[in-house]
Amino acid sequence: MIVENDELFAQVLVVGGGPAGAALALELARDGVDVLVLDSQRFPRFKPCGEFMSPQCVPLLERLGAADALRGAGANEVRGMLLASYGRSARGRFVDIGRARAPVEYGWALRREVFDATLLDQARRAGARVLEGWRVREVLRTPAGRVIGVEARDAQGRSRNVRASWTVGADGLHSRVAGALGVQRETPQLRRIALTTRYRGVAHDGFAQAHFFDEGYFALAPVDAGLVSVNLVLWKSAFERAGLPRDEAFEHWLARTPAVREQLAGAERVDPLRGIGPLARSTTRQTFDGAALVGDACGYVDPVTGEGTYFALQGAALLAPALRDALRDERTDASALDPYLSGRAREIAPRARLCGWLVHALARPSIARGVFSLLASRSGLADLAVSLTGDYAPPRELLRPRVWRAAWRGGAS
Amino acid sequence: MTSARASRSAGNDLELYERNAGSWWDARSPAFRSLHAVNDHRLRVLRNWLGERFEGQVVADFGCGGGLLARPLSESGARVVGLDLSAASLAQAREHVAGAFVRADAQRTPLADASVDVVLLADVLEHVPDSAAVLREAARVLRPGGAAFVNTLNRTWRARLLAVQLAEGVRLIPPGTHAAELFIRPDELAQRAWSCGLSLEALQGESVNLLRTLRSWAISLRPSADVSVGYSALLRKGVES
Repeated sequence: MIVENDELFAQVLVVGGGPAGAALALELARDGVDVLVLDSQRFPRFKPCGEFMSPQCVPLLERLGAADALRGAGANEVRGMLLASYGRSARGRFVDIGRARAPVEYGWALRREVFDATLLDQARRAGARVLEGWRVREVLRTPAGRVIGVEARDAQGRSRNVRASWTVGADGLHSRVAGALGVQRETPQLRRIALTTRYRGVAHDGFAQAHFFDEGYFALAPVDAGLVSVNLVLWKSAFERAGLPRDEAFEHWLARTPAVREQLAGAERVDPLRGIGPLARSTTRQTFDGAALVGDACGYVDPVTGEGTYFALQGAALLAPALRDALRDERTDASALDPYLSGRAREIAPRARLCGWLVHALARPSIARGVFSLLASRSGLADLAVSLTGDYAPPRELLRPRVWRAAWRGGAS
Repeated sequence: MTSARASRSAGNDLELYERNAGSWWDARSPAFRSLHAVNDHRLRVLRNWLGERFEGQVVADFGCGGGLLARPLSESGARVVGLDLSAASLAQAREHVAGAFVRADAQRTPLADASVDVVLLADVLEHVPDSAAVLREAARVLRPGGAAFVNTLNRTWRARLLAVQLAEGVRLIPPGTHAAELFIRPDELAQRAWSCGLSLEALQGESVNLLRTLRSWAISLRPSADVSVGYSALLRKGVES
């Protein structure tokens, strides 16, 4: 092994200090593992996001011991969701579905810069080392292909090697780690972009909202500090056809969505419009000899309602024990992380699929119209639809006739 | 177990090894009971990394004390050279272990360059004020490709709490054994080792087997990902440099 004086070392190197990376670092550090987090940015930093996390995120954050800090940071309880389209709307709450109990009857809405910085700070307090402003450039591998760390530019722009028993790519949608390992694929049928901003002075009833139209949807979430986060998600083709700059495109679709336009009429936009996309990515592998991917770095399905954070936190909760066992047994082969993969297949994949189908189905105006008139006429169905996005009910609960009967009759099952 | 006088001021009492040297090989002695139990765990980790047999290999045990870790290696065929500052401990080692035992400072050993296959640094680095100097000396005496086995304590609040406050407080180990400010984080060890031409090849945490510890009143350890209290490390001397 060539030895360099200023190489850094950690048992687990986490690339990316967002929710997936911070949650993983927090849990591992709490268990006494030597964790180093590298992030290319300095916290707090902005991040385009729907800024809503589903109810199932709350117990995951409780388990990490971070929930109180997030409450203290202003996490706003969102009691349900307004689903609207084509002149119809339905309000759904987070209720039990079949055998699945809602852990809490609210999700959280919080500005991403506050959420991420708070969670990362909790990881730091648990003992994780965090280096901000470090940009990963390359993944270091042995001739046999095992990942042994990364080469990064430190905050002063110097090239530094960081070695680790395990390297985790938690670096999001455009993951440098997943890219360097050559496993990223774009999902062409889900080419969407998002424009995101925030308003002050929007009257709201504590519900999040999703307003669907033919080319995409608006999502609104009442976050902390009296702000409402507003996201416009568009098919990239529609955005390109319109050929408008971001601000004009936003105004264009706002003008055509009266329910949103009216709410924002007297409000003040406090943030610039930020864009991100195309959104959909997938990866062909998530575990490697000496490395793993977690969170959006694994791939990304266009989340309608707060699944992104759930996938990140749940992924971290599955990866942490697998890494702990691998370190104890001194294993660095990919198969040491098989429990992580089977956990993902059980907890994350079915929800991601359901999410993908929903997006596809609602992208067809004929289906969407039918669905929304049904939801509008049956409050139980609206509860069912919203609760499904709460991530606490496995989609297989939908196979129970009882669930549908109860929803049709108007109550939660 | 080395550099006794130098470390006295740092707050960890190395003369206690001299005072208690008579009981090194008494597995029930209050001073060394836990060390005997911990030794079994370390030996498992060491054998896992370096193999079961040591025929023809020169093993230098820096801070050998009474030779607790050296004896099983000597019995596995190693030619053991034990170094310690405590003459009374060395006398115990000579009595119980086949090998050469020499009074020497781990920073300045009488060993020739590149003459040793394995250096043992068990419970040493956290007792010396200048661990880099000890690592440099280990690197000097190791032949290229040779390895240093390290067992030490991490500089965390948990190690301070468990290994100093709690373990010394309830007399699981003698009071004054450790000074928490001398503890070393794994990344610091890796970096100091690198600067001496030793690369970190393996790292293994340890967690306390609480039930067995309470039952036997001697610290019982098992392998773990947890390096926040104590840990073992394998440092390899580069072949190129």
